[in-house]
Amino acid sequence: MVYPEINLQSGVPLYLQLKRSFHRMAALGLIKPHEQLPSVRQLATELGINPNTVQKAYRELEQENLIYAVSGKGNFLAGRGDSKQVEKEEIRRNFRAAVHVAWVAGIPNETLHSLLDACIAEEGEGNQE
Amino acid sequence: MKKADKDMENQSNQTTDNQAILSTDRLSKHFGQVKALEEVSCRIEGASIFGLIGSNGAGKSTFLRLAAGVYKPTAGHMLYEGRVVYENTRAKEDIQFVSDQPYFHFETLKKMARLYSSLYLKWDPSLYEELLQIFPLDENGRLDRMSRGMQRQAAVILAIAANPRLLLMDEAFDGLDPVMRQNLKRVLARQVADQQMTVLIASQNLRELEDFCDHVGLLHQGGLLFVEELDKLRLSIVKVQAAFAEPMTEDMLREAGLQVLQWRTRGSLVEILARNSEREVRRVLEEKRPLLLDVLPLSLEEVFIYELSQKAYAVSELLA
Repeated sequence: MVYPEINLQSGVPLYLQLKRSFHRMAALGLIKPHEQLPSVRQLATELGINPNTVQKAYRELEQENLIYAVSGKGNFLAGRGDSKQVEKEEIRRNFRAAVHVAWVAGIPNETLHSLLDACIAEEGEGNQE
Repeated sequence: MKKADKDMENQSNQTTDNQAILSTDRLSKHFGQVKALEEVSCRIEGASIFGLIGSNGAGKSTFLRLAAGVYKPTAGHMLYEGRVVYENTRAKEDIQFVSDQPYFHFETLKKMARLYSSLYLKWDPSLYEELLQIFPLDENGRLDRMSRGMQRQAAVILAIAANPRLLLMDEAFDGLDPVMRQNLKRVLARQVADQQMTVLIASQNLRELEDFCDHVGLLHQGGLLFVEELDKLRLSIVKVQAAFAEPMTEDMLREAGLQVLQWRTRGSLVEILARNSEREVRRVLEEKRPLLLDVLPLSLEEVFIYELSQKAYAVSELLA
């Protein structure tokens, strides 16, 4: 069973850290669809954190359709939840910042498009090696 | 009123006051002229981990002793599941109290454990053994010759192994090394998850409680200043660092919907503290086309300081 990573020093509420971690593990395929997640008890005891914090993270993940609960059995990863939502948000934010820098520097849109294409090409080459 | 009727009435009180395992209603405790607690009203929900924060003399220990039924209130009520705690045998059975100055009737932990196993029906011998692994105390050592820290550990072992529904701890994490502290948290987490145990921890040190409690209450000079869900408190204020191409003022951001608590400029950088969600702050600031926009981490202590400065208290007085 895969456990999420948390950082007690980061200042980010633990339930948000747990949520992000599960989204990420799902996106990376570390948890498979319909795989069972650790129980609230297991996770709280393992990490030494408040069970209510784990409960809250699971409740919100269920609302986001990343996971589903089977009463008496536990929580499972949903079949095809939009597990990439968190990543999409982050990418959009990074694009937004880059576009803004380009705007300030007066770089035309066509150049931006070709720069993005170049980045995608570079990434593809890197992954083929 | 006949006893049976009284029980019925208590029963119905319990259902109206659902989920609150402990509640107080204008609770006051005076020692002569000293008002240790004054009109404190609050509710603590079952299976929660509640942190009571305050400096020395704020009333934390008095609150815990009232909750443990050691003290009788001067006025108001301290209720366990809707019933008065003082001289309540059921509450005595269900509540364990770890005092900051533990007192033991017998000279060794082993003898104390035997006493507890006869006093408390839910005493768990295997839990006791497990706790002895976490806190490496000599079961046969003289308790009165142990350091204050070790005595407190002995009291923690006994209290948890008695398998209480409500565990009251005064400064319980103080003086524990990081490994013991983490192990204690793991045991407490399991008991909360498995047994629906409720934990009420008092501490001077916010940092000790911030990653473990779900709710905190702040006591100051015998009064409860606020009770809040920790995550809500943490997400209620955002700190960002930004730079703008065009001149920007605090008022312009206020007009755009930011509740600016603090505005500090350092050269072309602005540091803004706002009582908004991170999403709102980003939305407002991104519209202003910032050259730079970073959300900075904010400690719970900083959040407390801003919450309190609004109430015009000297914060140095409150947080040790």
